[in-house]
Amino acid sequence: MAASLGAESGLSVDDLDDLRLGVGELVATVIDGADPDARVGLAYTTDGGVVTVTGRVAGSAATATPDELSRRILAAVTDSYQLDGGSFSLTKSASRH
Amino acid sequence: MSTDHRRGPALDPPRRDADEEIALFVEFAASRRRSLRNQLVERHMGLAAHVASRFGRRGPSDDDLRQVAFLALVKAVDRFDPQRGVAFSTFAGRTIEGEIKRHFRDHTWTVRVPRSAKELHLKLRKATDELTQRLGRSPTVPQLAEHIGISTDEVVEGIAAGSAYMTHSLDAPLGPDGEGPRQLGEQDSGFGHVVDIEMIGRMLDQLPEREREIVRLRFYEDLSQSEIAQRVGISQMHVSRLLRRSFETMRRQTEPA
Repeated sequence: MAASLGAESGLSVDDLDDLRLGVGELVATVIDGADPDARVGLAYTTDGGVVTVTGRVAGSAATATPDELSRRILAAVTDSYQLDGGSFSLTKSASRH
Repeated sequence: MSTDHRRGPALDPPRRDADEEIALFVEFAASRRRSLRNQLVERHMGLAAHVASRFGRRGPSDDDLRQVAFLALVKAVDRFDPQRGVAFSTFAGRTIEGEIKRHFRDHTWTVRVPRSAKELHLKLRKATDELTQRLGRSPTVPQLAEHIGISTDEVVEGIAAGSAYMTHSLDAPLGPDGEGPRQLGEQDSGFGHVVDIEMIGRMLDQLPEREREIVRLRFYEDLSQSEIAQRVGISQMHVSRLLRRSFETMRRQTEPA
């Protein structure tokens, strides 16, 4: 899904891989403290070459905190990201590389 | 007409070796004697190892590849027809290469993926490398689609198929040398307990040299995957896989033994 939407936004193959990595890190972070049967809902939007992904763990209010490794990965692969309780969002646009 | 290829001390050594080899193959073709076959296999084990080394570090362990290459060499000796005028090394090289490629196709896709998807993925990998070279940056999906002559949906499918390449067994041991707990059923309680950059440095030290360099280039020098690929001399998709594998390795180090 991330790759499909990213493709329509003009992201390069590198950018798409970054997007997938970023979404993977954030999902892994928010489910870390969630109930075993919790579900994560994701929503993707595109606007002018920017992909925004928001996610939320249903029914969870636990504060998720990315570890140092995750922070470093997220800083490298996203334009920006935010974590708030069991929710997150990230943006990714075509890189200048 | 019979010729004694072993007679000829006046011949120069390479020619004498080649003649000797043809004579052995002719004799083996007629007798099918096992000892002769073994002799021929032993003579060319270096060739098998060389071909295997060209494919090393793309998936299966190097030992596995050498085994595949040696078995292919045995097949090549069995099938070689010295009357056809082709050098055995040429014939064997192609046979070994073919067997290794088949091995990759059949064994490195641990999730069952249709052959058409695998072939599409390989085509994409090649096209990505070509376009990266030409454009000086990573190509977009529409560019790849146009280059290969397929739809953007197919490109996306091909990229997704790549995620099935080299996944790790859930039952694989976590520790070095095949020891330690297994991934399947292990609690994830250590996830997220890395607290400082020093620890990342220590994790990096545990990675194989090439993976350490790739992680360093990606996260400390902010190079794109394509730029790393060019610098290290591998494909962008291979960089992607190595990065993921490195993260998994680093994560496992944060988990309690």
